[in-house]
Amino acid sequence: MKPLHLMVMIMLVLWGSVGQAPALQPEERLSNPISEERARGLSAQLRCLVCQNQSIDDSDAPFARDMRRMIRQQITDGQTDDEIITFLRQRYGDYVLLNPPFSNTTALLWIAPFAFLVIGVAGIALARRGRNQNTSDSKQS
Amino acid sequence: MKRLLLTLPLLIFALIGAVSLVMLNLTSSGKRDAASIGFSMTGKTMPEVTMPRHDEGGTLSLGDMTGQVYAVNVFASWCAPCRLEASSIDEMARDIPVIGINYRDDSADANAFLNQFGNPYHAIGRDGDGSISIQLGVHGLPETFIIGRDGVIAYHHQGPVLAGELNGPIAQAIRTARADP
Repeated sequence: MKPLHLMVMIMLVLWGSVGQAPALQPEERLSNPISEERARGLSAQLRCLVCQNQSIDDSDAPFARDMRRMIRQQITDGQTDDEIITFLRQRYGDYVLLNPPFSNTTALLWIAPFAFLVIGVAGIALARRGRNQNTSDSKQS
Repeated sequence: MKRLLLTLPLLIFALIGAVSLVMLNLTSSGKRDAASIGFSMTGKTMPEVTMPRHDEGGTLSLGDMTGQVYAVNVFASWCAPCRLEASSIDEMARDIPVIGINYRDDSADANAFLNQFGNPYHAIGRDGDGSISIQLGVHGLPETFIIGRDGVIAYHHQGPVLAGELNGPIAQAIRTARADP
């Protein structure tokens, strides 16, 4: 085996074994597994505002920890998921949601990929038709 | 046809670039409110949070301030930009009462900070675990709020208050809030 191949293999094996350390600390967890699952689900949808595109479930930042604790506190206090999301949206706006809701300001964001897909498909179809016409033209001549 | 296929991606790229540039210019020139992205507490009611007082014992409630125009300044000794704004907060405190919220700080460090930069605060509350600040929509220190008599936030600023903010939007917000009965 070439040294380079061996090195790549070692790196791949190590990569797999490292995994991602969970940001959530054991003492943060709620004792009720259903509530804990709800908290994890909510955390995964919410942006850590001081991080680079991480959810608060993934982040080690103190701010993310504060938000996780607040979510668990509100769940324990009997708040519904919607109420907790509303509480955070009132304070941090739609930006706190990793999936921005469809609105006037985000319409372009949501529609653009589909528009580009349509333009792309149309472009390819037109190009093919053009090429077929060219080949049939050359056959005729 | 081939030319169209080649120029189409360039056109799309130019279009996205142009839209981004226009939006960025509108936002930075102040014509488009950055708060429309949803990152500001301006216009919302200040939550009437209650927290322990810093170094005095007892509690401090923002609800007690209702009926007057006041400011809230979230600060910490470890926050470098908080040092930059110290003189501005001092100046602001000569105009309206400023409630300090000491965020995730060591009590002794906070005292050292207040000794070094002065204590302009009407009262200081402690937010030892960050739970109070989340209720206020705080996400990065320092943050400053101007609150009207009705408890509605007239202005919310994230980042240090420098002369530009103090003499511009903050002075304006205080004037407007005072004119409001």
